[in-house]
Amino acid sequence: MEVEDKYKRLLIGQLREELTQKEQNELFAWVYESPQHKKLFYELKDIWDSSKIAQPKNQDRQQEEWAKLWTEIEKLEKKTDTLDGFLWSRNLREIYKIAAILVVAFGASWFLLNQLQTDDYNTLEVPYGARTNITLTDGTKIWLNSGTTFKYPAKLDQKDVDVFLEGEAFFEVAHLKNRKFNVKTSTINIQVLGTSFNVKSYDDDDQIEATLVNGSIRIEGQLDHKTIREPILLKPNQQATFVKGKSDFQITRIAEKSPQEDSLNTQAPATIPLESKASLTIFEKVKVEDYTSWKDHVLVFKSEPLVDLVRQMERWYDVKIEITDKSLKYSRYTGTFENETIEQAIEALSLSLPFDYTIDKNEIEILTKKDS
Amino acid sequence: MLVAYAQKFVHDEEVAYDLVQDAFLNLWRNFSSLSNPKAAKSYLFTSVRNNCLNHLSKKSVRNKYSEESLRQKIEEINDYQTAYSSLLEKEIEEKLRKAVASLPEKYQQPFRLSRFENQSTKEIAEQLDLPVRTVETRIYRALKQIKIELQDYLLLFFVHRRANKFPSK
Repeated sequence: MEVEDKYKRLLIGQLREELTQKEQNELFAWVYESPQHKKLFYELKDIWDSSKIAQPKNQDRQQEEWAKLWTEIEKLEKKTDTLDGFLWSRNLREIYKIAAILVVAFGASWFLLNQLQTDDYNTLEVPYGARTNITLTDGTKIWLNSGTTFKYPAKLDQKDVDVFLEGEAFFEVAHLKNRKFNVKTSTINIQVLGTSFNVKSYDDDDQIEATLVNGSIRIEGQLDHKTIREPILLKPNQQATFVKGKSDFQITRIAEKSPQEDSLNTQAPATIPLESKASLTIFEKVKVEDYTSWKDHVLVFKSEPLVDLVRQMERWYDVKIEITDKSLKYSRYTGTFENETIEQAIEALSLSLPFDYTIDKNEIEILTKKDS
Repeated sequence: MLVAYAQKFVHDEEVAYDLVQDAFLNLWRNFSSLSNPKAAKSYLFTSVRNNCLNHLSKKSVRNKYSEESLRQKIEEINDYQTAYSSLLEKEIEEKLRKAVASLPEKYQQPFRLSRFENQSTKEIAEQLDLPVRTVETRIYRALKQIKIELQDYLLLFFVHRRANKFPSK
């Protein structure tokens, strides 16, 4: 591929981090213009970055860093040594005695004990417009969608694992014998053995979804302070949908989620016992790909009302979208966005629904279509 | 090596050193839960990436970068999380070193000055008595040349991902 001299210069400038804001914008416009450009940029950048190791080594610096690491590790070891020794060398009564003495002696020791127990959690916040994934040390893989906050223990041992989610995530939980892996959201808790599933639970959405790809999961929790009395067990290709903040509705099992597919499975709606009314629907057979494709950077909409779709696009593209024409709010849209920019995506939407729109930087307004 | 990797995503060298320190400490803490010692390497790379991402999402750090370059950095980390892997992950230090060393002198010199001596293209141009544009083109050529040498190792995708993601119907 032949590259214009201008972009060669910008590219080198970017690697050296010498570009002005304007030049950067110009370069990135070019980089993201086509997959080939992006690939070339990444490859040359990777060569540039990696070539650092070909540099005559800075031995002193390396030794200094190792020394620093060992002091940190020693500190860490001392902390755990004293704790381990403390817990293992004495029996429980003695520990209580000592704890009691400590409490009497220094009121502050509670603080100490608490601190020892609240082990480290890492928090990962994914900004709007970004997506990421992480692999925990046990091999569990987690994909995190835009605008998600995810908290997980810094240390995984044989004990049960609790992770906390606000937003959307796809989990591939590593199967370990006798270990429970719990996903906690503000409303529901999901208990898993080894399995893959998607959870969508944004605090600012009305609806929570859990979609199971394989394995099995058990859902318990609270909906508007009403506890689900019996945990729900999901089987592969099933989806549980919870709707927040509704006062009156039924709990149903529905064979097929998308109306356009043939309805093969016509089970009668089954009722899930709840202590009080709360909205919960179990869809028996969903096309799981539609709910998990986001992790492959594909946004899929199946007959989705514009209001919901707009929320997802705001997170996905990190933009603000306002629907000025209220009558459009519940128009439904089916489609897929893969590599489209926000401009292309909104243009596609506007043609299909249809509507007019204005874009001002990151703010988009959806207007009534004028007669044409 | 890991520092070079961290510097892919956060420009500041000192920050890169710190993030790598954290990654090593994390590894130490979690060593017992690693299923297999070979995983340590990929654990470190993942850990460095996550640390970089965390670092970039801090407010104080955000202000240092322009919106566009921040977005670009995050996108780059994401791409490395999901699809790409860097030369640094492939244990080809020797090949890389050779590729740099075997560059023709007229490309190698400006490349080394720019990359290792951290001289600006202008300074290099003055030193070598060449127009700035020529220096830039030569650095570009140097990168292109290494790219050809290392073609087989560049940005390989983790191909296994798509294969068994969804159960067949």
